[in-house]
Amino acid sequence: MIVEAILNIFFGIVNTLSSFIPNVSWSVDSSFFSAFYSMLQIAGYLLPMQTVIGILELVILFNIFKTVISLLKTVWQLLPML
Amino acid sequence: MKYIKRIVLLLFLFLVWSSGEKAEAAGQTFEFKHYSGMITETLPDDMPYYFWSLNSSEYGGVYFDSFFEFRSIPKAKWWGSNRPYSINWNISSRTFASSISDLTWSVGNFGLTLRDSTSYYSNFDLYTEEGQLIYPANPYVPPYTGPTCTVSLKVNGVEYTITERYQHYFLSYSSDSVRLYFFDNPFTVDYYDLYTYVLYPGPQAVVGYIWDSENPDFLGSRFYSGLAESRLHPESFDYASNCDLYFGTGVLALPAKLLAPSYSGLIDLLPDEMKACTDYIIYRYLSPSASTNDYIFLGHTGEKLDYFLLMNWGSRVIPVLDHNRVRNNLVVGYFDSLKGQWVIESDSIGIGGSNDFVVPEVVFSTLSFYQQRYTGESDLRPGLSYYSPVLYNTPPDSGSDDGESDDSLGDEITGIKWVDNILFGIADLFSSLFVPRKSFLDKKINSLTSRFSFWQSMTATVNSFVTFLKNTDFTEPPVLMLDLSAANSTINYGLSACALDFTWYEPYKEDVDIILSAVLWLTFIWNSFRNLPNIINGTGGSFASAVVNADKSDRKGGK
Repeated sequence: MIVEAILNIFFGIVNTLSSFIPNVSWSVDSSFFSAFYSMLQIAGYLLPMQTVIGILELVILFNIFKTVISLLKTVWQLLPML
Repeated sequence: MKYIKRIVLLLFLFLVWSSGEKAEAAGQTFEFKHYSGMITETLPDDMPYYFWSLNSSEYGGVYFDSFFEFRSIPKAKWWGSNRPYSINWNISSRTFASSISDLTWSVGNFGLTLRDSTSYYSNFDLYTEEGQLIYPANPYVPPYTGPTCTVSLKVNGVEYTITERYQHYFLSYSSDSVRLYFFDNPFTVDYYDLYTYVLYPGPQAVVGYIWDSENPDFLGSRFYSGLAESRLHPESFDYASNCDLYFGTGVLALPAKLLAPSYSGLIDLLPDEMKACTDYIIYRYLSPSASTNDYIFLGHTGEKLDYFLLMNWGSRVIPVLDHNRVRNNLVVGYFDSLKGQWVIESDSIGIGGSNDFVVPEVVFSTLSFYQQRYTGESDLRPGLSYYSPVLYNTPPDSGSDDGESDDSLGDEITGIKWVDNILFGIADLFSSLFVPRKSFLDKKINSLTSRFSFWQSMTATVNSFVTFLKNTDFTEPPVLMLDLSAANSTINYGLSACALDFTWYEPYKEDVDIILSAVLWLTFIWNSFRNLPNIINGTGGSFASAVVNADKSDRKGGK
């Protein structure tokens, strides 16, 4: 009950704020993808895609790692007893 | 300030907890995360195959028969023939098509959403009242009703949530999916295909095949079950890398609901992790001679439900039948292989490839499979109760057999049950005060996420992109064609013309790729090395420069 009341307030605020966000629809014409993928296929043929994908995966991995570290540091700073 | 920190921390912990709850809940739903982006017209060649159909129903005054089908297994053997790529998505109406101005539908169970129905009208048929429904002929799909699934159907602006018992359910996984979920191509072949087929009721069946379509004569494995009461759960496929069984030997674990209770029991095999994460197991065993297709069905009751687990299909070494014999009405076979000797015991199944397994006999037979090196009579496991032909739904109690002591303990605590009542009462009170109801949270989270429904579409788009990257063969030189007949002109130029052809680059590609790869890797490694302090500290680009500047200023100050 108590927690629900607090959450009601929290979600009420969030819902109110989110109500200002306009309705966004993400509908992409699939024919666009055909052309896009064709171009991508050409680029993929010219580039060593195994290498590119490998590097991209590593970049994403590094960024996830950085985010986790940052998150941990932030939580650590927020801890009141420390 | 302290209180603010505590409140923030509490909120953070709550968010973590609630997200964990949500993730747990999501894990129990049926989502095709990997395939949700497939609803484009640029389906990759190596896409899994889905097929299912709904019963006819009336919604919004419109009587519907719905059907949709994805097909894309160009190289895979499919019902004995190679079928071309195609996508069909049909909803048929027996009422007037003109009465429908707005029609969308989405399939809830698989996370598939038809975002814009107009994009898929090429195979979207609305028949007039006089029209005759023509479904693609499929002799394997008799009109049985089956388990439920939900479909959202929007007709003329009115949304319906349909819960239907679907007639049939058909899933197939192409080689990439099989590799992704099952194993990593142990036979060094290009294509595997697994599909499952559920009919319910009637001649209830779950049928699965995995084969190498490049070698049509080789059927990797096939499994069959007599009852299907639940949907399959492709998201729960787990890859078991450490399972090293034998050539032609596969283990498939299915959700408990999928199998008849009568198939349970009678198994003692495999690594602990498999026992821990599966409820029932269908076991497929090919004859060591690899010349006959035999069936074995086993069941195992583990800890968790609704897992669909396929173990490795084997090593490259065919197990050799050492010898077999009959002992206590059980046929016992000993096989030598990489991981020692395996023993198979059964009361009605021929072992050694001499007798084909007869499915009804197998299903209701007593069978055990375990790993053990034969060194003599003493090696046989004595007194295993589940060698009994009695089939059971629950595993034998592995705990204490001392039931009397439990009872006496229960008698002793009877007198102080009121203490329990008080404690439980307090716990309930605190629980009702401080623990929010799950329905409450679900409702709140759903209302919040509904405002961001576009996220699903975006995810689907990203997934389709990832799928494209995974499934596209970038080693094939692309050729761009121009469709001259589509030119916006009074003159029809007719056919297509080649606009760009990269076949000339093919001889040089390998060498150039090596050079480009070297440059890319060197650049990446050097940049990563320079960025290492930031990565370790979890900071952006400012940290390293700040440290450098601080060092510089220190040095300047020192001077």
